[in-house]
Amino acid sequence: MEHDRLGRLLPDGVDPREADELDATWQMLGAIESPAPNSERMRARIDAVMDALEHTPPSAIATAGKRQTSRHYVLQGLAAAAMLVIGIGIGWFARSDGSAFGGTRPTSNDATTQIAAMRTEMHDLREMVSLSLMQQQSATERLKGVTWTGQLDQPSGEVVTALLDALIHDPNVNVRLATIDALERFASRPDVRRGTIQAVQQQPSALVQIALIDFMVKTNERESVPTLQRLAMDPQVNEAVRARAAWGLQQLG
Amino acid sequence: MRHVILGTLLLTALAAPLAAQQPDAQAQRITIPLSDPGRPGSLQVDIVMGSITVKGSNRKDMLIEARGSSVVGLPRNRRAQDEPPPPGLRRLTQNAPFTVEEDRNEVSIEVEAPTRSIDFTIEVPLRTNLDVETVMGSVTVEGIEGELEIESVNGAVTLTNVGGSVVAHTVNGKLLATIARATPQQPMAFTSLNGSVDVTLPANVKANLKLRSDQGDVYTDFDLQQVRQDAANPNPNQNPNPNVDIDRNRLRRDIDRQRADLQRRRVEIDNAIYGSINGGGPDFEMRTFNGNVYVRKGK
Repeated sequence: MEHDRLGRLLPDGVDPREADELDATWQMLGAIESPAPNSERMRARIDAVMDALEHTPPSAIATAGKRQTSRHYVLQGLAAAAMLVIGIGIGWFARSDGSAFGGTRPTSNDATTQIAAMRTEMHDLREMVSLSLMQQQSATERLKGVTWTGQLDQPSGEVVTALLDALIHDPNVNVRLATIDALERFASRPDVRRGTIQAVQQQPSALVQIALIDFMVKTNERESVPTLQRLAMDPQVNEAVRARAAWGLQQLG
Repeated sequence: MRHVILGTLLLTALAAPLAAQQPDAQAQRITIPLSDPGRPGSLQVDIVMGSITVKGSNRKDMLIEARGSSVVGLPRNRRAQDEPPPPGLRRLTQNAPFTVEEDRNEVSIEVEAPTRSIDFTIEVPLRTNLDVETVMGSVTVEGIEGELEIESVNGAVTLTNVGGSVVAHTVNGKLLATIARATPQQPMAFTSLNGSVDVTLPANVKANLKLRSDQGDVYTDFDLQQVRQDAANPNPNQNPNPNVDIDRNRLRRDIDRQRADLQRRRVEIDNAIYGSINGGGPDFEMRTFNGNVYVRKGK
């Protein structure tokens, strides 16, 4: 019967041999025995599913589908957060050494590099806090910012510039005085040498001027000699400052 | 809403000159409320002639009292004011207008004619931050807790029973301060050019002290743990705290280091004394050029 139907359905010009083979295949497929259901195994699986259903609260069954979706979202969120952390990490490193991805950059996740990275972060944070304190309206906060720079191992040029700026422009005498101590360890930098020499001429406070003259002598700053000479000769300058400048010239000479 | 009130206050203050026509009724009083009395306010006074007294009291506003000053700075003014009035005449005080402005808890006082000398006495809430400055006159602060920034050029600075943190300076006057409570971790500074610096600190205050007098001496009754003894002060064997055993090895190291320092530098300038009290803390600088430095332990 099958063959007749196939014969009728087959378009003209079909190779009868091919049709016979196809017919044979059909016959063989029909002969394959379907496997008898293994009732024992099926029973066990059904029992397991029933068991699981009985021990699950109805709400959980209802939300099971939803939960899977929400878990998906959580995973997405975590992935986004991880990307953010990685991004920030790259940002920190890129910032901490201005050069592009160089050899000194940590390339593996081992503990040493992580600690180094954390140190860098802490250092940057401290530096940021010091810099922002130095911008505050309150003299106490600015004083704190200046003294905090003393705790930085290797402050950036930005910190030194902020200290020099405070030395010349801070309205409070005590803040200016504190910057001189803070600048002492940068005395070899050319901008600090120039800045302090400039400050000693412009300084309205005699106490700060005297501290700056001491700074010149302490750091053996011979380039300050012409400035100290002018101060020592200027009748407008405070007498104590003139005397200190003369003493300073003696020490430097 | 608050801005409207401020505007009114500002106008009121502007329209209130120091109009004291009678010698015995010289004071002009202005009360100015704070926008947010629940929060500590701040007071800023920046004048040229006159003294400033600020007292803490149990109030939520500020009371400003201004009167013609006896403080005179310029020689010409001194002559004029010191002269007794001609017989049968009395001296009239001329107007010296000043403005009081409040903006978001910040009260500021300004004198419009800086050559007129006005003394201010201001009562403020107990917790108030101060930024007070005068050129010819003294500054007195009593019973206030906050960040206190005080400066005078030709007058004494006296702080009594204050708390918080202090940054004070006077050029030609004595600086006397009694700190009742110090805010932890806040640095302080007390400096003068031609006056003594006399500071009483709470007995238990933790601080790193930097003490220096260029032409005077430094005194204290605190157990000061000196952290660096400079070559300019050649007394390295002196143990700053007699109750502590001398660590001979450390002393030897210190002496060696100082010898090395002496060889390296021809001259050592920094004769400041660095030391910690009660284990150390924020930096407190006490410094004068021409006078003594006293650091006393409070009761």
